[in-house]
Amino acid sequence: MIEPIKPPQRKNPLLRTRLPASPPKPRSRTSHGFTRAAAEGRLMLQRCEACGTFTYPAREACPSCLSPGLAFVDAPCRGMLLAETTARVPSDVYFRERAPWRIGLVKMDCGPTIVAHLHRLRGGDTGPHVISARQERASRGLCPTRRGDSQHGG
Amino acid sequence: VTKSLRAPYDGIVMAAPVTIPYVRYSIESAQWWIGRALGALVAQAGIKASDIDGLCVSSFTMGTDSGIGLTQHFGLCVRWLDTIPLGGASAIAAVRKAARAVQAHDADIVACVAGDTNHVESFRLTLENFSRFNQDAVYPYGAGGANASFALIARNYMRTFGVTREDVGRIAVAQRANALRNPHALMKTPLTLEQYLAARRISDPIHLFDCVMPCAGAEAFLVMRDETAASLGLPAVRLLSTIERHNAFAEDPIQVRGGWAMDIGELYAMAGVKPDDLDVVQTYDDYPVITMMQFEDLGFCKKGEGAAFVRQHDLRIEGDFPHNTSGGQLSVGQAGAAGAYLGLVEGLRQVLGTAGPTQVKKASLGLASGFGMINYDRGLASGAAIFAGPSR
Repeated sequence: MIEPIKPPQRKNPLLRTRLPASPPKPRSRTSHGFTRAAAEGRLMLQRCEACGTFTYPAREACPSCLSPGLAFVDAPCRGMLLAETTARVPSDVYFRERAPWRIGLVKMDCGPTIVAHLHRLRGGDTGPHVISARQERASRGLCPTRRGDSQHGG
Repeated sequence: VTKSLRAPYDGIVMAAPVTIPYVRYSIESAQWWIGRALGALVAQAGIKASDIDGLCVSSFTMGTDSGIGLTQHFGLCVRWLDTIPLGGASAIAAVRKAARAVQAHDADIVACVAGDTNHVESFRLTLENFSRFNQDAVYPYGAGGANASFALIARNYMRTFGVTREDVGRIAVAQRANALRNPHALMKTPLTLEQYLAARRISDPIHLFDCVMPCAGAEAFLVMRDETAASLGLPAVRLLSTIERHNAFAEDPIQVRGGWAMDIGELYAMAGVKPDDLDVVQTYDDYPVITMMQFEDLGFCKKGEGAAFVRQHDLRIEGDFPHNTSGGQLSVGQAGAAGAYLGLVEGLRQVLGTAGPTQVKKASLGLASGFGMINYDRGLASGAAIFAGPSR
């Protein structure tokens, strides 16, 4: 049997209601490649078909050789966390309602530097990390990181 | 490709530094602020608007306008026009382009102007629409804006070189002391190091007094040849040297130096001066840690010695290293692209001896720098200029 839908709880008028807001929408067409990969639980980055350079963020030409052939390929997942911060006062309503946001700058072993969400990360603020891709509502794809999570290693 | 020597800026001058006092929020448009600045330029220089035959504009909040729309808006008929979207590097880029234009007689009098308004949503809209890399790969990760991006740079810099918040705070505290003498500064109350350290966290290690206050305002100056200035009887500042660099040191995994470090030898060689010769220095202070980085990259001390430099020097107007004498963006406010002009315009007033309450005694040689465009993970644009007043 299907359980009947419960009526919503009565609102406590003393509590502040979260403002309705959507995550920011503008995104380049090419960057949807990350979202597509994340939907399959894969971390894919663009790699130049001519010189093999991995790049990030989404580009239309290789920053090493200007070749236009940048294909999304499965990328090695390891990287070094260079620095982290916790954004406590975002300017965007969607993020401000869900603050704070912990982010970090990760230098991937395969080359590029990635701004990533830091999820369930303990310990110091630098060191080796495994980076993974998730379907996440706001960033639509890339890169929560978890220290030493070998399941997502690649 | 061999690099050729740059032509000197012989006889190129800047005049009529103009500041339209800032307000925290404005219901007016960017065009209103830019119009006020152009009007003040004309009044201060004693020229007619029709004498302006070159225009260089920077603004984040002009909406669909660029420089061309402003010519019709303000009734200017110019034969040289540029719109510079380089954020904090806009003023240095403007003076470089305008200087070459008047040097080549493509124009006689170029008005360089930057102005922005600040509505309730202006700052967030600028952030959201800043750049493609930002939209794709930064803004969706918490929208911390420049605060979060510079927090990552600051944390790495402070850890790498053993810099404490006290070290960085000295810069902000000294600038507030300067700002208290500037009637146009938005910050009107003293700031102690204790208050700086106790401020609320914004994006660790960036705290409240590390941040500039977005506001509305405008800044402007004229660029011309010295014979034009003489014919107008205008006190003028000679341009001695400039540098500009974009996307420098892309191989650094995280930013610990700006493009200045690449060109600093050229800056001083072209001007024929040493860092010690400067009477007044105006750095781009979007965050005090970026100012500390500039002390190193502009040659006042070695990389990693910025904190010691700040401890050893008094950065106030009466100090041994007068720096950001107006109070800088940290204490005057950041009026969008006008923030790029703030240091240079104050520097021009200093070497002209017209800075009033913030005047450094006998200032004749100045440096102003610019920095901007955190497109993705670092500030891409940097520049600097050295200039001399009539007394030198």
